[in-house]
Order: sequence, then structure tokens, then C-alpha cells
Amino acid sequence: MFNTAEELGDNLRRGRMPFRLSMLFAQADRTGVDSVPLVSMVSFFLGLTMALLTGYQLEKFGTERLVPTLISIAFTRELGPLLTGIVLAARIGAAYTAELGTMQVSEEIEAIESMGIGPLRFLVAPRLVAISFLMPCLSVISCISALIGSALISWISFSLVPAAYFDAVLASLIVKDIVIGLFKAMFFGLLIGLIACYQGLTVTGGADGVGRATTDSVVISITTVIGFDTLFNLIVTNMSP
Amino acid sequence: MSETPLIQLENVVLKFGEKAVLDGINLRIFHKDRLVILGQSGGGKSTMLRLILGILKPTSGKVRYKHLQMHKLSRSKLNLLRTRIGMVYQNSALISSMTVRENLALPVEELGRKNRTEIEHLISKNLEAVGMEGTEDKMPSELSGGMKKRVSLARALMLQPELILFDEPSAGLDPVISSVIDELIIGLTERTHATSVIVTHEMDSAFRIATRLAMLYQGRIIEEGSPENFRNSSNSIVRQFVTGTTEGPMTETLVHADL
Repeated sequence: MFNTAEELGDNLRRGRMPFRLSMLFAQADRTGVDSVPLVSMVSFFLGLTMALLTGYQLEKFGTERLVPTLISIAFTRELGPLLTGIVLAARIGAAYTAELGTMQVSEEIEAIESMGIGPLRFLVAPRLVAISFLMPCLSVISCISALIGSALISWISFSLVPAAYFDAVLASLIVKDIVIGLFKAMFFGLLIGLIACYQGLTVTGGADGVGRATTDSVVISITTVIGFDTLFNLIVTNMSP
Repeated sequence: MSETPLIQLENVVLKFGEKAVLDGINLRIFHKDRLVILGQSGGGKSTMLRLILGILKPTSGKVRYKHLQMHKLSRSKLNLLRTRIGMVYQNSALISSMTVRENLALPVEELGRKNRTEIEHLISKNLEAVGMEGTEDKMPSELSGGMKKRVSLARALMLQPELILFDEPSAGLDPVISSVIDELIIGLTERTHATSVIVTHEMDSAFRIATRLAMLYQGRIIEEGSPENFRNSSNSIVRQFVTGTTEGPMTETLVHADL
């Protein structure tokens, strides 16, 4: 941690960008663009299932028209960032740890250090920036996919036409929920990136060590994201319900 | 006035837990030396290279680069110093996700000292020097062990270092390729006037390359001198190591350790 802070300070003092731009684009491509299909699909099916299950319960009281409100608030503020966080912890966090871990055990990281470069600007910072800034974008995609899934099932099962569905969604969305959701997504991205890079750079042993670190990275990331989400909700709800 | 050594190790002790891997090393490396460090596998030879690079810090004692004490330097100064040292790793340690060109360009680009044309020129020059021209766009996985070693050497030359460290340069290579690597080390260090430290336990390579030899045994330098001195050494441990016989003090120590 001390070395990382020192290297960051050194880069900034020398007027250099704290991350390598070409690496950032490469990481952004695989972290963001390549994750779109998985995030969309998982969110689409979750939105669909949630609308179906809640719709059947609400239908008993004749209030199934509340489904769009429920889904839009749940996803923009809570499930969008959380689901994206879990998907990215498994897909990208694991990849970061495995890559850096393999580089560590095959002495590639040491070779980089021995050239007087340091792994931060070249390996860590591009990954952190990519995941932190692309998590909010993926979270938006997650919300849209979930809304499409739930709109579809609402139309089929509850005869709620898509136009009416999306009118209700727009009426129920508030800026505060969207901002909170995006902020949480960015913070979760940073957490996943930090955990994954730390686990990767501290791998010891051979293939066994890489495997263990990758598992730890996913487990710790998912637990931390859920833990911080709960903490965040408690604080925000108490401060401004 | 005597010459200032490029590298000086003074009473260096390095412990991992309770185990002393290096136990009071004193060694001086002078300009244009081709010093070969001999010793048993797992005896701390590669660890010495990591101490010289400042990757490991000694438990006690001093590692000096000219007048600078390595472990007292700030990270930025240590990084600056490392740009004067090239390292060729035993397993080459090329970045597997980058092409040969990108591997070679990396240190120069990151230090921002040259423009694109100069970097390309330097890449071609160094690849040609190690006989690897035309491999710029290959990935490390497409290269054989010997080719990787040569590319790794070309990468080490990119910053025009005054000291090059070689960790087991001929390990895992057939005798012909091994000789090619040895010739490369001799030719390149002579042409670039670089000092080199080579860690090996292969005697043919050692005698071919070395201008000076040092033998590490049980954490200490037990003999140091010219190749000729080593061939005629009266030290029974050195004699056994040089001749590779199974009977002698080294094997007895191993048997006692097993018991």
C-alpha cells in the first residue's frame, strides 16, 4: 500500500498521467464492452422474474399497475449496481486476479519492477480506472435490460402495454435514486478493482496460489460489495429516507 | 588510489524467518567485470541478484551501487538506479500478453526518454544484436526457450545499462544454444562495455564467460578469483563442484543434513 502511494505520488510529481492510456483503453474494452451481453442477459431475466412474481401477488389486490414503479426503483437504486457488482466481481475481478497472479508467479511483475517502472501505472491504475468508470455505465445497461424484461412479462401476463409501462417508469424515477445508484456502482467498481489487484499482486506459490487467490478475490469482492451496499442503504435511509 | 567498485556487498546477511540464506557476504564487482557466481541449487545465488537490484533488502550489512546504499534510497531514486541495471531472468519473464516489440519498447516508453522513431530503431538494433530480427510481432508463447532468453537479453539492453545481471542464462537449453547464449553475453558486454554478473551452476558456461568467479557455499563466498585459480583451487569444496564428482565435502554435508 505504501509502495503504491509512493509510486502514485512520484508519477504525479513528474507530471505523468498515473495510468498508461493504451492499457486503459484495452481494459475498458474487456471490462465494459465485453461485459455488456452478460450483464444485459442476467438483468433481463431477473427483471422479468421479479415482475412476474410481484405481479401475481399484486394482482390479488388489483394493484399490478405498481409493477413498473417497483421494478424501476428497485433497479435504479439497488439491484442494478448490486447485480452488476456481483457479475463483474465474478467475471472481471477473477480475471484481474488471475492475470496479475500469473504475472507475479512467473516473475513478470518483478521484471517490470527491475526495469524501474513499477506495476501501478502500467498494471493497476488502468484496471481501477476502467472498472470504476464503467460500472455506472453497465449499471445503467442493467437497469434498462431489467425494465425491458419486466415490461415484456407485464404485457404478456398482466396486459400492461409497453407504452403505459414506460410512462409509469418515467413517472416514478427520481434524480436522487439515479444519482445514488450511479455513485454506488462507481464505488463498488473501485472496491472490486482494489480487491482483485491486491489479491493478484500478493499471490505466493505457483498455480495453486493463483487458484486460491482468484477464489478469494471473488468471495471477498462479492461479500464486500453486499456488505457496503447494506451499510450504504442504512446510512442513506436514515439520513434521507 | 584503488578503483571504486560498481557494486559492493559488505557483510550482507539475509534471513528468511530463522534461516540465513546469505550469511556474511563480502563481494566487490568492478567495471567491465564478467563475474560468474557459482553455487549449489537453492544456495542463494539468485537472491544475491535480487539484493543487487534492490528488490530484497538485507537483514544486515550493506549493498552499495558506487557510493549509494541501495536499501536507503527512496523508491523514485531506486527506480532511477534500476534503469542503469538490466536483468535477464531464468525463465525470461517476458510479458506474456505483449508482442516482442511491445516487450522491448515498454521500459523506454514508460521512462519517456525517446520518441517513436528512436524506439523503433533501438528495437531493431537490439534484436539484431541478439540475432532475433524479424520476430517483432511474435508473442512470447511462439518462441522457444533459447529465443525467449535472447529477446529477454535484448530487452535488458534497451536502456543501455552499465550493469547486466543474468540469472541462470543457460538453464534448460541444449549445449549448442547454451554456447550461443554464452557467446552473446561475452560479445554484447564487450561491445557495450557493460559489467555483468552471471549466476550459474554450469561449469562449461562459467569458464567460457567469466573474467572472475566467486563460489557461494552455505551462505558465504568461500573462494573468489580468476578461472585459472578456480581450476587449480586447493579448496576441496570448490574442487568437487568444478569436477562434479559425487564424493567430497559437499555430498557429505548433504548426507548429514538428510540424517
